[in-house]
Amino acid sequence: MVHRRELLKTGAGLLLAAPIRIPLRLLTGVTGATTEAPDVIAETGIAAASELINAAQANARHARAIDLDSTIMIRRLSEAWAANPRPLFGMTRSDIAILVEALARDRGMAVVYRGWHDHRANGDIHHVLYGNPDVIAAMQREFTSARGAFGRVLGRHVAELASVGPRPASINFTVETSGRPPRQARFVTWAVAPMGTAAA
Amino acid sequence: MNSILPKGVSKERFAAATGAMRKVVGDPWVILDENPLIAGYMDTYSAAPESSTAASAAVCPGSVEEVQEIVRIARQYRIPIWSISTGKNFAYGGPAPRTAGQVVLDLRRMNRVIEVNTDLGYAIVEPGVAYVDFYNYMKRHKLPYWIDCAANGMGGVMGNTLDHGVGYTAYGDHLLMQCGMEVVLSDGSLMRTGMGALPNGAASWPVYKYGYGPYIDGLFTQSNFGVVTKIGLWLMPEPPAFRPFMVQLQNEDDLYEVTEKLRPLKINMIIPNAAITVHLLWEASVYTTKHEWKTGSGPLPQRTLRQIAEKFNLGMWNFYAALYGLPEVVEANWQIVESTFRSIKGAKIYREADRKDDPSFNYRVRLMRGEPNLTEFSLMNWVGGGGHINFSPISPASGADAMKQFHMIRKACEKYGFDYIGEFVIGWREQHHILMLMFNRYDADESRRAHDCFAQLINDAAAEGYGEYRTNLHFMDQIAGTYNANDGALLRMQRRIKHALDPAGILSPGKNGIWPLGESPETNS
Repeated sequence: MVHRRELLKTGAGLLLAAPIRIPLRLLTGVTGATTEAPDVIAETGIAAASELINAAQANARHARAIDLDSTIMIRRLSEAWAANPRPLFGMTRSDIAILVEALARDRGMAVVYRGWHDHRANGDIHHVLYGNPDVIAAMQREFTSARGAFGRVLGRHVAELASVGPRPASINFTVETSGRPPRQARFVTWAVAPMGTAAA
Repeated sequence: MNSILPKGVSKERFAAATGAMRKVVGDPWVILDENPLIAGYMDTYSAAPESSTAASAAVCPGSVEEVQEIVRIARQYRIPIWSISTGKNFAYGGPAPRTAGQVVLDLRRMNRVIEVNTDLGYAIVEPGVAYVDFYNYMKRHKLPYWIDCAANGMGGVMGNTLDHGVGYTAYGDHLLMQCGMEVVLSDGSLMRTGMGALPNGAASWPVYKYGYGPYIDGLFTQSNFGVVTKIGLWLMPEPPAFRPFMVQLQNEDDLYEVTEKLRPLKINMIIPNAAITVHLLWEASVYTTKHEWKTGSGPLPQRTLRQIAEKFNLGMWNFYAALYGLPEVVEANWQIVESTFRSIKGAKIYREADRKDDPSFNYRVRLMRGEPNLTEFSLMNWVGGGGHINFSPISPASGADAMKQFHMIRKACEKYGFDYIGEFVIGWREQHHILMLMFNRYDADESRRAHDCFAQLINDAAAEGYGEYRTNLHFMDQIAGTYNANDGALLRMQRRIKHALDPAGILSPGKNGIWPLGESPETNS
C-alpha cells in the first residue's frame, strides 16, 4: 500500500504521470481489460472502513481500500467519468468528499447521498444522513440496532444509497454506544450517481 | 412543479421562462428542482442553511449566442439569473446564487481555450476553462508559457480573475494580467472592451488594455453589470531558472520582521511573485488533523502548536517565495534575498532540495510554477465536516498591519472557539490576509458561532480601516456596507450604474451588495 503522504511527496500535478506504484486502473476500471472498477471506496485509517468493505463485498459490491493523493485521485476519476460515469460510494475524509462532489457535478452526476458520523467523547455517535428518505429511515433503525458497527449497515445499503431515487431528505439522530471514540480524523460517507442510472 | 421559485415570480411565468430556455439550450441543460442535479448548485460549505441560497433552476448554455438568448428570455420574463463560470470558489459560496430562487446561469459548458498566441504571450479563454484544463492544454501543445493558478486546481480561470483572485507566480495578480473582455449585456447585446470594440481590432484586443475612452473592464468584475463570456490573459514565459524557497520562522512575532524585510524586495521586484507567509496550522493540515491533538472543542493551546511545529519541522510562520529569470539574475537576487532573511533571528532558509520529501513545501513549489493541484484541500480535514469560509481583509504590506490583523483575528477566533488558520499573500504593496475559518458544518452551534465570528470580524476590521477584497454570499451586503465613506457614495454610484445597464435587475441581483433599484437585502430575505 502506498500511503497518501508518500504520493504527496512525488509532487504529481494534475497532468503529470507520476510513478504511482499501485494500479490506479483498479480505481477507475477504464484501462485495458480490467473491469473491476470499485463501486465502493474507503480510505485507510478510518476505523469503520474494513466493516464497510467486508459488508459491501458480501453484498457483491466491488469495494476497495484507498490511500491516494487527492490530486491524483480526482484526475483519474475525471478521466474515467468523462467516458463512463459510474455510481460510486465513499467513506473518506472531507477533502475527498468535497472534490468528488464537485467533479460529479462537472460530469453530469448527482450527489445522491451524504452521511456524517461524529463520534462523541461519551461514546455516542451522532449521524446526519441525506438521501433517499425510505433508505435513510431504514438505516436509522439498523444503525440503532448495530450501535457502533454502522459500517456494516452502510455496506449492506451501498447499492440503494448510490442510486438516483426520490427527492432526498435529511435526518439526524444519535446512537448510544459504550465504545471509546476512535482517535482519528473525522470522516464522511457519500455517494454520487449518473442521472437515471442505478448502481450496477 | 418547482417547489422553489424566484421571488415574486408566479409558477406560470417561471414555467413559461424555463420552457423558452429549454428551446434555446435543449432539455438536458435546464435543470429544475425535481432533478437531482440541482443539488450540485448548493452552497454546501458555509455557515448558513443551504435552503437560504437554493437555486430554483440552473441553465447551461453552450455558446455566446445561447447566453444572449437566455439573457433576453430572463429579461422578458423578469427572471433573476446568477452567473457562474465553474462554481468552484467553495469558501465564497461555490455555485450557489445569492438568494433562494435565483436561476443559476452555469457557463461551464463554454470551456474552450480559444487561442494561445506564442509570439505575444496571451490566451483567450471561455468561462468554463478550469486551471487544470488550461494547464493540460499548455502541456499538450508544448507551449513555452506557464499559467498562474489558484490553490484550487479545479477552479475556473475566468471566475477567479473576475473575482479578483490571486495566484502564486510572478503573474499572480490575475486581474492585472487580464486584457480584453467580451460581455453580454442585459438586453442580450454583445460588447467587446478596449481594442476589441474596433470591427477589425482583434489583433490588439488581448495586448492593449485601454482602447479609447473610459477603461471599463473593471466594471464587469465582482459585479452584476453583464455576463462575461471571454477574457484575454497574459501568460508568463517559462523562465530559464526558477528558485523556490522557504523561510521558517520560529516565533509568531517574527511576522513583523519578515513582512518589513519583504516589502522592499517586493517593491523593487527582486521577489516578483505573490509571496506568502503562512501560519503553522495551515501547513500542518497536510500532515495531521485536530483530532490527533485535541478532543472536544476550542482552539489548540500554544503548547500544542509548538509540539506540532516540532513534529513536522514547520515554523510558527512559514514564508514561501520564488525567483524567476536568467540563471545569473536569479543567483544575484538570491544573494540579496538570502542575506535579508538570514538576518531574522532563528530563521531557517530552505531550498527545494532541502525539503524534497515535504508535501507542504512541495505543493507550494508547484503553485509557484503554475501547476494546479488539490493538496490545499487537506485543510478540510483539520476539523472535518467541510465547513469553511474565508475572511480576507486587505492592508498595506507592513509588519505593523500584519501583526495588528493577526492579533485581532486570532482573538476573535478564540472568542468563538476556533483555531486561527491564516496566511498573508503579499503583492506589490499590499497584503491579502486570508483566514480560513474551519468549522463542523453538521454542528448547528459551531456553524452559528462561525457565522457570528465572521460577522464580528467584518466590523472589527472596518473599525481599523481594513476592508475585505472578496467574500462569501452571506456577507456581501455587510461588507459592501463597510465601504460607506461619504455617505455611501460608492455603493450609490454602483447602483446607478446597475440601473442604467440592467434596468430590469435580472443579472446576479445582490452580487457584492449591488441590488437593483427598489430591492435590498431586506426585500430579498
